[in-house]
Amino acid sequence: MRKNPVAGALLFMCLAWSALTAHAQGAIEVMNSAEMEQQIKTADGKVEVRRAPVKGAVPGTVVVYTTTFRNTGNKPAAGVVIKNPVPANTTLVPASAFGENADISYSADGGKTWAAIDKLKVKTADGKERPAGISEITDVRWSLRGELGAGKQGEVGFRVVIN
Amino acid sequence: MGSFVGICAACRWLGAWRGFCAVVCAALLHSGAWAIGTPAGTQIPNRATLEYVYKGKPTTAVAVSAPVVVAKLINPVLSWQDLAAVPVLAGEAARALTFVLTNTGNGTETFQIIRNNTVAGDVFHPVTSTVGAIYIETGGEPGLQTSGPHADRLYVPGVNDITLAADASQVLYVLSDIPGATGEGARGNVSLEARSTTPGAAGAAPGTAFISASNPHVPVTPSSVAVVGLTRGQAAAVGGYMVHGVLVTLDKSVANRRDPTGGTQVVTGTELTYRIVLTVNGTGTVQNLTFSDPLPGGLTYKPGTLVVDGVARSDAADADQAAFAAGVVSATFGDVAAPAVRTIEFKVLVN
Repeated sequence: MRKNPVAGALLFMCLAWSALTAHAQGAIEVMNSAEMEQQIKTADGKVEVRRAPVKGAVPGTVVVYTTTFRNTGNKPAAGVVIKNPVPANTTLVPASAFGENADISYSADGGKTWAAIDKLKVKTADGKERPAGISEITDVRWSLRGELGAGKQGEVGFRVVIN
Repeated sequence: MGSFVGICAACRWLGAWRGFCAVVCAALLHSGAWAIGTPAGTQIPNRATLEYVYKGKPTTAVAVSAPVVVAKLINPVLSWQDLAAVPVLAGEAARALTFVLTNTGNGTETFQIIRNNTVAGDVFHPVTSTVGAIYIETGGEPGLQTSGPHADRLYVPGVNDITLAADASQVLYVLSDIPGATGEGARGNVSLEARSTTPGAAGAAPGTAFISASNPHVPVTPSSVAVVGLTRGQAAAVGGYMVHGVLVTLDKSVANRRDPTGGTQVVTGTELTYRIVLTVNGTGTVQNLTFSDPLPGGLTYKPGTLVVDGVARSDAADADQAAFAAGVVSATFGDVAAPAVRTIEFKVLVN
């Protein structure tokens, strides 16, 4: 099977549009989607990953959450920070958080404190700290470096596996 | 990504099913265990927030994704429980094989049970017993009871198909008569099969998804479906019988109970009389028949109570061929020709 790039892009836009609820407050329009990834072997033996609406997601299925944003205003937006909780009944896939030009940090306490993945800690019952496990990550945060110029857009996201 | 324009309902389905099996299969193959998976029908919502400063004004935007609805995984597993071929005699009636059906999916599912007596490769074909083909363990006492206070329920396809919650198991008994003219050492097998009653699920390729309108356990929404697991919505297991020329059966029971106040409560100090009946059936001789019964921790042997075939025996390991030593009651009978019955009785005290 060969991927038609135009059809693929069109499909993705339609999927994105129909699967989400968009909130256009102020200058940045933001959308959030849940999709499945499908791995398809092409004729030349390469594995291609495509996204599709979530359907038949049984435990073990990987779901990709993507937050897409665009500055619809005529001035740049500063201090853009996206936060997205790891949904209940799912576990973050290690090293799956993506987002260009963004510093990614994590929380294991519902978004109260944030740290880089290798510095994230949880408090044990006796008050001591230990490194957080992947299943203990509750939230992911992306802090965009610099401004988001007028008309500019981007996307960030992560993958989870359904418990 | 280009423009955000273009709402296209048809596009939503375009490609949604193409390659879908591959996705689910990948999920199935990469997930080792679903035994404690998220229950079918669970909704997984997600809400992202975006904060920014525009023209000096801090603003927050929120975007909510369509909730992911966890689909029902249909994945029965059936296993034969007898440790080895069940020893039987030629011509014996109503002999049971024990199976366990387990729902390793994440939602309640109903299964139909089918037996097949003509399994290729065996020496004889067991016959469905006139007592009943399949029993469901419902009586609360391990082992098959076809009557009495702990009687198990006869299975009738389409009437009492087996409905199991996620992770639940059901013991099933397959009851067979053994043909009369069957030689010693012959093996006869029965295959038991459990099939999902979700229409089309049994036998479907792993990853096949159904919008299961007929299934009350899954709400019908575009993202809510039942998915066939690696066991193809069905499960099968083969169990077998082995014909012996002569067969010893053991029946152990508590023949009498007497508590310290003269009643029959099982309390500290209650005296239990155990009776073991060894029955030698068939044609031929059993060689070197011995019996041994290690007592569990909660019981203490009452000295001088060992009786074999109605005759009191000493506890010492001596010429009377019965003894109690190191917590084990034992008796030896040497070669015993069928038919024969041997009875062992002894008393213990509950600690």
